[in-house]
Amino acid sequence: MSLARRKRLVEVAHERELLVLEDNPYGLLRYEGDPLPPLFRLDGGVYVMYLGTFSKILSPGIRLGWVVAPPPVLEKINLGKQAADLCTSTLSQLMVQAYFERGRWEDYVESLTDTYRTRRDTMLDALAEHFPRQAEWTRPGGGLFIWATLPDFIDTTDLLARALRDNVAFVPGEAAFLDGRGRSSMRLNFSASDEESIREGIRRIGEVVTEQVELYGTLTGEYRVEDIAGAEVVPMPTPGERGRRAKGE
Amino acid sequence: MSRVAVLKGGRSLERQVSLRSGARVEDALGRLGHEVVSIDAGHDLIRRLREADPDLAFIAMHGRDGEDGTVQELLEIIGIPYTGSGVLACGRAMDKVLAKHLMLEAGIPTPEFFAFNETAFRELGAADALGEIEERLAFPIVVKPSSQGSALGVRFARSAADVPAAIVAAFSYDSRVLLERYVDGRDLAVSILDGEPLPVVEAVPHDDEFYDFEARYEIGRTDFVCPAELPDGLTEAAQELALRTYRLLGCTAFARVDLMLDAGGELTVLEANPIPGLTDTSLLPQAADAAGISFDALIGRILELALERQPA
Repeated sequence: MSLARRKRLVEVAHERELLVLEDNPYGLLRYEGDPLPPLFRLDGGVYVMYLGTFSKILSPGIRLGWVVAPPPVLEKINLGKQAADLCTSTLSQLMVQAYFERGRWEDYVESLTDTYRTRRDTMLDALAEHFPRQAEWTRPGGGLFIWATLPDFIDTTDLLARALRDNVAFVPGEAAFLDGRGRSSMRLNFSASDEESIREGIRRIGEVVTEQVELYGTLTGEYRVEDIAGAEVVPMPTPGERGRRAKGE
Repeated sequence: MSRVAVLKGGRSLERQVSLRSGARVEDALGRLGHEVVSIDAGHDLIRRLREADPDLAFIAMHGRDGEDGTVQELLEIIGIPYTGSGVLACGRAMDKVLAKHLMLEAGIPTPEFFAFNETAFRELGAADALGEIEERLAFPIVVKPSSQGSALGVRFARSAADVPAAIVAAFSYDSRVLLERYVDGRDLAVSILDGEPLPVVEAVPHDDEFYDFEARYEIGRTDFVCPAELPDGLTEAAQELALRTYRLLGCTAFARVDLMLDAGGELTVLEANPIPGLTDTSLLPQAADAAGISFDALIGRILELALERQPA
C-alpha cells in the first residue's frame, strides 16, 4: 500500500472513529527502497491495532506472533485466546525470546531478504520471457508476491482450472476483493519455490495464458498471432529492463 | 454388517464438495452399524483398497475421476463392488455432448446445441461459423464445458461480444465445449432411486441470474422447494422424462436428472449426474426426505443395491 493510501486510511479511521487491524507479516522483508511506515506509526496507536508474526522472519512452524493494542482490547484478546487454546506453548515462547535476545535475528532477516530478492528477480525475468505482451505485473519492493493482470477476457478462476492440469497453481485475483474485482488478475508467490521451480512454473502459466490469448484471437481477430509472446523474435530484456512493464509498486 | 470403503476427495475441482458428501456418508454408515474405511482418492488408492479389503466401495466422488467412470473401472479391475452406476453409464452421463446426442436420438427433449473441440477453432476456422450458431440459438446463449459438474465454467453470453470470452473460459475445463440454447424458466431436478423417481425439487436462486457453483453449496443462497409446486401433470411428466434419461444412459441405483420448465410448460432435460451431491444442501437427500426416506435409509438403500448387484 502506497504511503498516500496509508495516510488516507488513517485519516478515514480518525474521521469515522473506526478501528483498524493492521496485519503486517511482510513489512520487514524489503528488497529495495525505504520501508514504508506501518499504519500503527502513522496513527500513533489510537485507532490502529498492530499484528506481527514470527512466521516470515523466523519460521512458519513456530506459530507465534505479537499484538500491539490498547489494554482494554488486549484484555478481550486474552480472554478469547484462553477460550481457544488456554495459552501458546511456553517452551516455544521462551525459545523465540532467547533467539531475539541474542540479537542475531536481523542478520537472518537480511539473508532471507537476499534469497527472496533473487527469487523475485527470477520471477520478474520469467514473466518478461513467458507472459504475453497484453499482461502486466507489479515489481514489488517488499513482501512475497507479484500481482499480475491479464487481458480482461481471461478469468483467472477459470484459468486456474486449466493450469492445475499442468500441475501449476496461483491465487486468482478475485480472492483479494469482496466485490468481484480482480477477475483477470493473479497473485504469484515467489518465496516458497526455488529459482528453477519459479522459472518452470511461470513458463507453464505463461503457456496456458498464451493459449487463451491465441484462442481468443482466433475467435475475435482482436489479437493477431504476432501480438503473442514467442511468435516473433523479441530480444531478451537486460537485467536493467526487468519489470519494464511493471505498473509501479 | 459390511466393511465399506468410502472413496472421497480426489483431485477433481469438486474435491471440497466430495469431502463433505463423503463425511456425511461415513456418519450414516457408522450409524447403520457398518465398519467404515475412509479413503481420500490419491496415488495410493489401489494399495489402500487392497489393504482395507472392503466388502464394497461407496463412491462419494464428484466430477473428474469419480463420476466419469475412471474409479469405477479401477474397482472393476480389482474386483471390489461399488455403489451407483457402472463405467459406461458414468461415461455417457459425464460427457454432456454425448448424453445430449443420445437424448436427441431417443426423442428426449434437450435444448438445441452445438459442440466443438478446441481444434475446430484453432485449426478449422470454426469462429467463422459463430454467426450462424448465434442466429440459430438466439441470445442469451449458454456456453459450457462438456464434462464438468456443478456449473463450473458455465457462462451466459448475452450478446455476440460475450461469446469469445465465454468459450475461452469453458475451454479452461475441458477440450470440448458446447453452446446451448438458453431456456428461460424454472430449474428442476428429479432424483431417481432404484428406478423410482423421487419428488421434484425446484431450485429458486435468491438474486443471481444464474445458479452458480457457490450458490449450489452455500446454505441461504438458493431456496429449494420440494416437492416443487407444478401445474397438473407436469410433476409426472418431469419424473417420466428423468426416468427415461436415467434408463437411456444406463444408470444404476441412483442419479439426478436436471431439467428446465419453460414459460410455455415445455420440459427439457439438461443433463444427468451419476453421483449427485450428498451434502447438507444437496438435492437427492432433499428429494428422498420429501419421499419419507431419511438420509441414513437412503445410504442404506444405495448400499443394498450395490451388494445385490454383485453375486456373493
